[in-house]
Amino acid sequence: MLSVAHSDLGNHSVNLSTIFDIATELNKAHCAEYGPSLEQLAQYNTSICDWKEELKIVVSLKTVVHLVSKNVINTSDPQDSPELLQVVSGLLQNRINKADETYSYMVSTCNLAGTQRHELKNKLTALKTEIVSLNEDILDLRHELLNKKGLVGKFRPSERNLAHAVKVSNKSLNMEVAEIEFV
Amino acid sequence: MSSSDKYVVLTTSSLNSDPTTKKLVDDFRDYKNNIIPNFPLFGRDTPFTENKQLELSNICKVHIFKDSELYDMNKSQNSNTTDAIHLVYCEHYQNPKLLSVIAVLSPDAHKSARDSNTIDAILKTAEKFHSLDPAKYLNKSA
Repeated sequence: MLSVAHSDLGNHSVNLSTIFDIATELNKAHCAEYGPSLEQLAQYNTSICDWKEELKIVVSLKTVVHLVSKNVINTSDPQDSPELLQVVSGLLQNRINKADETYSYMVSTCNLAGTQRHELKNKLTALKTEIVSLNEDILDLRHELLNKKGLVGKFRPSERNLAHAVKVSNKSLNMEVAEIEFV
Repeated sequence: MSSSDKYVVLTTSSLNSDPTTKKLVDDFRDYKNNIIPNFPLFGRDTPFTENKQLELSNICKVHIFKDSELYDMNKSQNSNTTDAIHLVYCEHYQNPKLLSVIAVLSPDAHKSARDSNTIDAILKTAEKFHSLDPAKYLNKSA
């Protein structure tokens, strides 16, 4: 079942394999109910240097737990791949907010020194940027899959496309009246 | 739908020359002409009543749903709203079947629509649009 998603992801740089691999394991073990919480991970006395990797795991696990619980990942129909990616994207969006929660939690419970706080904040900010970028890649990929399904012209724009459209629009609004032409 | 019932949707050459904005305009044209009636891209579609000048210039806005937003198919189109992106368009004074897409407002579309520079820019574009002869464009599409 997961090979469908893998083959669809094919030559793209988006790395969702970790998510799907963990999902497979979770499926096998029937332990889809709970992933480790942020609090539990913090109790493992994770060093700040490893925190980025740990948070990635949280992101993956929590995403997958949700996917598995909704049976989204158990699809054998390749036509569902765009919808699967839509769900992954929505969940990643939620995870972006988790970086802020993590920072607050670590600062309030782990007695971090100023430089450590600074370092943690920088790392979490970098992680957020990475997740946002991954999310945009996923949405672009989803569009591509919809195109392949013959739905060209009938899909909703991604965040990236809309941001671009707004830039073009702002430029257009700044034009002189004499320059405006209607087509 | 006869050609007289059909909406003719123009836009500015600058919006038309960019593939992304052109695509939005094309989708808007299809939506207005019921070619993709149930497609959940466009939400609430109303005149710009928050600003009298914009309203008097026949400026309207339609809420655009981006990929990551939930469009509730159990609700009416008018009940599906978003603050993120609004497509701003104008209905021609002389013929409401002639429309022009003028702008895409974001990231806080309502806030952008209160910005005086944005309002002025929309009004000046609308004014130029109203100076067009609708017969020229509506006959062309027939």
